Amino acid sequence: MQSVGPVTFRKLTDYYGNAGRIWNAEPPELTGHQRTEWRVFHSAAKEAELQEGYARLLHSSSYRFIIPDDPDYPAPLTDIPDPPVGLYVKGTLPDRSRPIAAVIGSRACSEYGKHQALKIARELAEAGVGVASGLAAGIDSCGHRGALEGNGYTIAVLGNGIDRCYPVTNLSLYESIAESGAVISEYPPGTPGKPMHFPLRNRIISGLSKLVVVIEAKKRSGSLITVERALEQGKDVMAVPGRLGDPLSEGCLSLIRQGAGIVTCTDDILFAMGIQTEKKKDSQKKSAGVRLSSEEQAVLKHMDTDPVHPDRLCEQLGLAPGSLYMILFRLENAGLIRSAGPGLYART
Amino acid sequence: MYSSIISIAMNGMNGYPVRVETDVSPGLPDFSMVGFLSSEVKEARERVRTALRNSGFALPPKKVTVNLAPADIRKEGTAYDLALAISLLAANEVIPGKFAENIVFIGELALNGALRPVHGILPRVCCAKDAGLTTCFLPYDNRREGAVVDGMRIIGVRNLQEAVHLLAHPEAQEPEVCPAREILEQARSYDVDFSEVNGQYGMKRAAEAAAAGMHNLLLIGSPGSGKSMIARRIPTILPGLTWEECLAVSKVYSVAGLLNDRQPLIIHRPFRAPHHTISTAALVGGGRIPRPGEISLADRGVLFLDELPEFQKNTLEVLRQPMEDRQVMIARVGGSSSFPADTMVVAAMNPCRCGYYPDRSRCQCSVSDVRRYLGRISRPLLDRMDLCVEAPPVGYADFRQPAGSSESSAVIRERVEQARKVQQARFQEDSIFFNSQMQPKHVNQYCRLGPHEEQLMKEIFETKKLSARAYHRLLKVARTLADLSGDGGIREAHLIEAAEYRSLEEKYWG
Repeated sequence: MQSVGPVTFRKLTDYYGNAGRIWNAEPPELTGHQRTEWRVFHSAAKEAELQEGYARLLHSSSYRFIIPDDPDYPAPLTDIPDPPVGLYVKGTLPDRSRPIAAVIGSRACSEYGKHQALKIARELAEAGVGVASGLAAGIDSCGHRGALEGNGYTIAVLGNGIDRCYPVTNLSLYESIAESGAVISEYPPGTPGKPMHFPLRNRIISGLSKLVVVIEAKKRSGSLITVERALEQGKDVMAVPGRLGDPLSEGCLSLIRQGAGIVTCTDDILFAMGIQTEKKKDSQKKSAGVRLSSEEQAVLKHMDTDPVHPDRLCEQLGLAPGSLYMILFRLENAGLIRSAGPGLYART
Repeated sequence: MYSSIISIAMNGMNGYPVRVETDVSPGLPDFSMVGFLSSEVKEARERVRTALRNSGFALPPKKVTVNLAPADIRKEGTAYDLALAISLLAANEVIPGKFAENIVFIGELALNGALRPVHGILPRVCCAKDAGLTTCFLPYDNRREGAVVDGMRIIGVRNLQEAVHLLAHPEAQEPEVCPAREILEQARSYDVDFSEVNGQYGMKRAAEAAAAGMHNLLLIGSPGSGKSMIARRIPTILPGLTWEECLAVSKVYSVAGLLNDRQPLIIHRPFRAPHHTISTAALVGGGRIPRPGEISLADRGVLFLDELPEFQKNTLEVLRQPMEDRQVMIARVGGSSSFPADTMVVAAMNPCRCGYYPDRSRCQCSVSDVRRYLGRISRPLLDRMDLCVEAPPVGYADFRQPAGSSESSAVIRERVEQARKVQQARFQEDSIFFNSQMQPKHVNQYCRLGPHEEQLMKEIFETKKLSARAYHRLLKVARTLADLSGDGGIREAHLIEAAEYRSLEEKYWG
């Protein structure tokens, strides 16, 4: 809705009891109120007509429209000061019992950030926690992707019409989220993404979630707006620490300084959400079964979680590139290292 | 009186003999020229008449008709002047016609009778040789270029008078001698060498593999990481030109007018590095009279496209067909000509506009900026780049290595030559020379995999999400790597390395 903001709408619903009664409200009912309410009424009425049109459209399309009165309307959203007037939904909304965590961060993230987002989201999903994010490039996408990899639930909140995928490169992700989770938006179909929409949709991401995890944010980042909203809404905020001096870590590090929870592993998040987890010994099991040659061990010893170019290893170990690629392939197959961006490798 | 003199015309890369026929008959004084002539050939009338007069040959006022046969092919250029002048003199019986029999005359005349050099001497002389002619009168400045061809008597003449004198006194003719093969033998030194490149093991290895199989190579890396340095040194590890290759390359340069007296022959593998503002026609060839473009000038050598995304999109896309067919066909109303384009394309690019992606602490480009920048390279073009390597930023330690601690070009070239020999032996019965030229049937025949390798290939295919084309290209590179290692069959290590060269593409563009 464009002419009526969520706050005004909330005032009206508080007054009239429910949203349906505003649409149907007789003009005299409203005349007793301030002049602004008149304006509100007219625009609301216009919107209502539009909504009817959309509703007809929706009837035949793959998405539906819900208002706070609907039983499906996500409960946590009704608790925030400015819940969306209505939501366009594609897919299945989360069960009321499912805990949700938001995984957010920079669009221009590093390989480290991508890796952490994927890992954390996957492990959250495996523990039964739904992952909410904004379908943006970078951390957002990795959060969704990780949750899908962990066969879990994920929900994407768009800053544009539900029928559009922005960025377009995420189209396949958009479709898989709509299939197993939900894509939602408060903007009518056809609305293009405007810069002002994105900070607004952030309040929905944090509103849906019990806890917000920030992975990589610059000093002045959209993610920090979400954090502000989350704090206003009384949600927990946790941050994944980055390296000192890296501009991409500044946001997270300053959050930690201000008292945000620190994420050292996914269990920290689950603990903060009050979810019990079983201890898994997955990583040890994986490497135990692989017997490494001395060369492979030497290569592994020279690597750490920072991505490294094979040339560095050639230099340090005096290996020919041809044989090094073979070793890297074996180590990657054994799950001990991973490819970390174009031409780079890092330890898992 | 009638005379007929031989000259050679050019069509694209090929010469064909032209007869300059002159008939002088009594009648009203006239000078007409026929034979499908372009304007510069028609203008020869004025040049030749004046040159003859200034050389002291007075022609009687008679009706003169000149025909350039075959009369149905368009004649271009100024190389017929000398043949025209000699033909006129013979028809006027200033010199006996039999003196000029079976001699080829090529050259442009100045008004004072001096001879000026023309383009395309080498293919013209080759054509004369093929036509069974042995003596050529060429402009003095072109004599060395002509003398490159074996078994030809090349007489360099400075002016018309000298030409007439030499025709009348065959004993005074001094055929030019150009020890072309010796020049080629000695030509092995380059002023750059791979030993000057410290570090960059991955890029060097890829360059070696690309050189061995004539694969196309794409280097991606941040500014100043040594991409151009590597590319410039690739010709130094390619096998030396054979005599036939040397002639073929020199012919292209001759047609382009890039040979001269000091450099009558191209003795090094070409390295062409056109600037990215180059036009389409300059890159692949073109023009009213088709001329070879950069890709043809890089024939049997390296065409280096630095800053690949900065090239105009259309210009890059026209490279696709020549990269597959290894020749350029330029069609004109008057006929089509083809130029060779058997070249190894080496391209270098930054991963984004600022050049530091994916190092996010330095790269400020947004995700869509990076995509847009990379998107300037189309997938079909990318598919043709067999090897794709990332250049890591050069660290301080790399500079500190003592010079010469890296392998020299000579050592690498030895391995490349060995791998080329293996390929030559393999493709004896096929009409191809390098692994990169293999067609699907050749891939099936020569890139057989053992059961282990088959299993691995399946894994690679699935994990790297390869396309069918990428699969074939990967096998070809693996074949080259196997040839380099001296292995008969393709082993696991070769497949893995080849896949590594393919994976970068997915990571950037995938």
